Amino acid sequence: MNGGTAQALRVSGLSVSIPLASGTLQAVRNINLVLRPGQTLGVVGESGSGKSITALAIMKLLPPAARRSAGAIRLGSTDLMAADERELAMAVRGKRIGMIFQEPMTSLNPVYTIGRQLIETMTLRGEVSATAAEARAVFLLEKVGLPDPRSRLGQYPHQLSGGQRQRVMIAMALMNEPELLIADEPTTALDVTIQAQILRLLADLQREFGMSMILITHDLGVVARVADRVAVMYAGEIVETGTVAEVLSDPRHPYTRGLLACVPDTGNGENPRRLGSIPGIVPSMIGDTTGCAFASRCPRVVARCRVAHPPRRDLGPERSFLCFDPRTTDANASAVITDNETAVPRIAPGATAAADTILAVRDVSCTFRVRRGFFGRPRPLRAVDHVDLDVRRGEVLALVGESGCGKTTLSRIMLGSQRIDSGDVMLDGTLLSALPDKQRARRIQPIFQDPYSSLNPRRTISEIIAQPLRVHGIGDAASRLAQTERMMDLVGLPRRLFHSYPSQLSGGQRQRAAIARAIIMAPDLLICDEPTSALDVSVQSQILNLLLDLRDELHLTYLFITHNLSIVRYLADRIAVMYFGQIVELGDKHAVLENPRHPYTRALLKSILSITPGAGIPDAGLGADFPNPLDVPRGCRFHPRCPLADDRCRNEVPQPVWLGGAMARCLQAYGDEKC
Amino acid sequence: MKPMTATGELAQSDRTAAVDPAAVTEDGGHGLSPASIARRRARSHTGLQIGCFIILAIAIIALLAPWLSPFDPYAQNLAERLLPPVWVNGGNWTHLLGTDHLGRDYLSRLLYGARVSLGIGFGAASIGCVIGVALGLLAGYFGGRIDQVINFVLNCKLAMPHLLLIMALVFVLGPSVTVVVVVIGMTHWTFYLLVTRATTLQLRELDFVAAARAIGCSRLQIMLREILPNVANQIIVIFTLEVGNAMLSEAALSFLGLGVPAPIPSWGLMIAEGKAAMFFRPWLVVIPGIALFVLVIAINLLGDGIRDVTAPDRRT
Repeated sequence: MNGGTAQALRVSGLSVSIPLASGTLQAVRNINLVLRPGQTLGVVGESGSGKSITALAIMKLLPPAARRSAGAIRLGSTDLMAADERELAMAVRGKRIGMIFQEPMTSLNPVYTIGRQLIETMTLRGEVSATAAEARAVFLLEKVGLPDPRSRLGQYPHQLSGGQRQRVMIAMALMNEPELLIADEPTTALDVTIQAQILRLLADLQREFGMSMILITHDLGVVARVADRVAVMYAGEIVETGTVAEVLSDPRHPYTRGLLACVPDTGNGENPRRLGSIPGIVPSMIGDTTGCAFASRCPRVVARCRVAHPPRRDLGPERSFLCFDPRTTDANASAVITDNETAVPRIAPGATAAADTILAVRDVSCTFRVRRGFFGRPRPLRAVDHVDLDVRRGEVLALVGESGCGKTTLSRIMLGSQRIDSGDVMLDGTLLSALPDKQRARRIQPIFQDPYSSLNPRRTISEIIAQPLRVHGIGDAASRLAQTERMMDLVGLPRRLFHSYPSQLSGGQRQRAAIARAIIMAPDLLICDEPTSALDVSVQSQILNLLLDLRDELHLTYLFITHNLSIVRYLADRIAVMYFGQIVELGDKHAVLENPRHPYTRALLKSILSITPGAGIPDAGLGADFPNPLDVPRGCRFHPRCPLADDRCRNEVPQPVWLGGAMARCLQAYGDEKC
Repeated sequence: MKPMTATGELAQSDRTAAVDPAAVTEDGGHGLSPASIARRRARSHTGLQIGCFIILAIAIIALLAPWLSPFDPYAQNLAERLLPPVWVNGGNWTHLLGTDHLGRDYLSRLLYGARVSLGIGFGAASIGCVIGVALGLLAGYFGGRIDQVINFVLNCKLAMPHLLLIMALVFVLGPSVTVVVVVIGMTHWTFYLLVTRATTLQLRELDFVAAARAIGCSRLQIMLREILPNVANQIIVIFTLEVGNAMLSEAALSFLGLGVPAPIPSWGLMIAEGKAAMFFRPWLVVIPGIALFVLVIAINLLGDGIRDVTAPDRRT
């Protein structure tokens, strides 16, 4: 295969099977990969498609029960299949192959300094002196953009922010100058602004050190911007592979098409269509399976797909896909997987300008007291600082900001579950704090981020959905049952899950159950705190469509908290941008997205990674990470990170300015020129 | 209301469907109810069945002791003291398990002793369970001052010599089986408290508790209906341990003369009384010891079985 060209990594015929009680799980099925020196391969797919297992299999880091078989795994000229455990540990893992994991909060050991952890990766093989290793650590920490690297060596992981820890993880992976870097969802746990920085850093370092990289992600935007080639994985197989430009602009496999259709359009302007979605979940390949694994979810499925495994078709030397019926782009309208309401554009009743206010937040502040150490003096942490915000009946108000900006605290204030220091929250003219819990509960309901923790694991789905009726004593057993069934139909939960426990449901199904529980008492306002950020992109689109349908049907109002601006564009009517406890920009969706006034909003918008192959990673122009919330900067709170900051910003506190229907809290607010 | 369209994950490939293929046909498309799933699992759970069988058998024996036992357990016959069981040299068929140091029939005492031991085991473990779980829920859920107070009580309890406390209580109340149950129960709640508190601390941060609060549940409802079922697993395990523990404690108390007052037969007391002659007449200790051992094993099997059968996710 391509004898003349150098290959950094070649994997052929890799399969991984894991014996389980219910049968043997075919986690990875006959995978071929070729990676050239200096190239980046993006591996995309939903959770459960075998992406991470593939990476672990290359390094032989699989769980003990798993069985690996392959024709060949060659790293450069070394045969990794032939290498024994000792050789792998001494010469390959951490030395020739570096790895970066998803969760920067847990992948560093909390009891050792980062210096020790960095240096150890080099010295543990006994080939390098501690001084040389330390010099390398300082060099790399500087490379990954941590200021004052020498003093960082003595710091512990808890002293660093999430973005900084991920930088340390990258430095650690690079300590031994690996020829191959495997990054497993390196930016998924990070804010969009930090994501762009980390991706750019990775791309720069890769170029500088001439590494090859395997980038595992579920985010097509990341692949489009960073990778040279892409492999789309589904149920343990690579269903489509090729260069990023080819695959993303001319997808052949219906799964690739489906994934692309699920991503909200990030182009400017009106969103013309409902989001596409891929019904169902990735099947677990247990035991013998026949036919195409995607057949059960495929919109173009034909009889043959269910009986025979589709052959691999080559479109070029490195472009291939697995499908019987690969239609090209001309058939795009019919090929995109959508709900049957696709043709009907979403008619957003939305909120008209005259719509009345359902929930009014007036000059609300909320301060936590944080004590450093046992004897430390408690210091105030102002999570929400003099916020004014109206939620209008029938609208979707999006609240956007980085983690730590106070948006979750604000949502809990609006839910009535967080005490406030000053100000008022009014629900239809009455003070929220004066309402009894049960009356408030009938008007406002939450939907939480993590569907794995928002349902009581010891209750069945029907008990969970009917819980509000039971607590409020509404109806008798028969009417509650009928109502529960109706809600399950409404949110698209099959009736056979009636007696199931949450652990038996997929993430999307759980989120549907949480939605059913929230709407069963017909509330007016739903407060959704990142309801889709824990879900796969295909499931995210289903939940977003469901939320919009429910709004039209039940006349709901949403406060939608998110850090994902591409969702905002699809969903929101109005947008509030929050920074450091304050609303820094507020206005109509079009005003905010097309002509953002505040430099922070601009930075957030620039950080969105739309699926534009080869567009590179944008520079948001944000100076540093999100600051320590205990140290409030003087003057404008944004000035340390602001590209426009001048002396005035450092000394003067900006007041809200209204410009053309949108509010911005900035001394240098952009005028009418387009972004 | 028109049917919704976004019914994404309806189709195939669902784990629940794989678990119970019969679910769709029975029960009107709702799948099996938790009770019927538990019954199904119980039918295939050998450990649970064995544990259940042994405990039921012992309970029946305890109930029927007056009819089953060949002699009056209190009747002394000093002429026939310390007879060995039938299978040892010198044993005879009149006293199947021999006699004790006062010439009382050992089998009859063992049968009657089952009553006292079962009562003490379950009674004391239940008292401790109620105290410990209640305090643990309060401390874990409310935190702050309440947690500090309860922790202080716990520390006092741990620092205080048990025996002193028990001796004082028994002295004041006078020795009787009820007093022994209450006293052992009152001194065996630390495990419950520690485990319940630690689990509650984790659970109260989860979103389903926040959701319950948003629905308008009272604190008591949240503690009892949301948190308690999630602690139940651990509580069952501790309960089974504490039942055995309580019966052994009773033995220790009886040995010191603080437990079950002398003529009443209990397994603990029998071990205590036999201890002196352990090296010469081992059956005095071995026979009640085996009974206690079998009962504790059965309780543990039962506890594990209940946990497996009621667990929401199927771990077999």
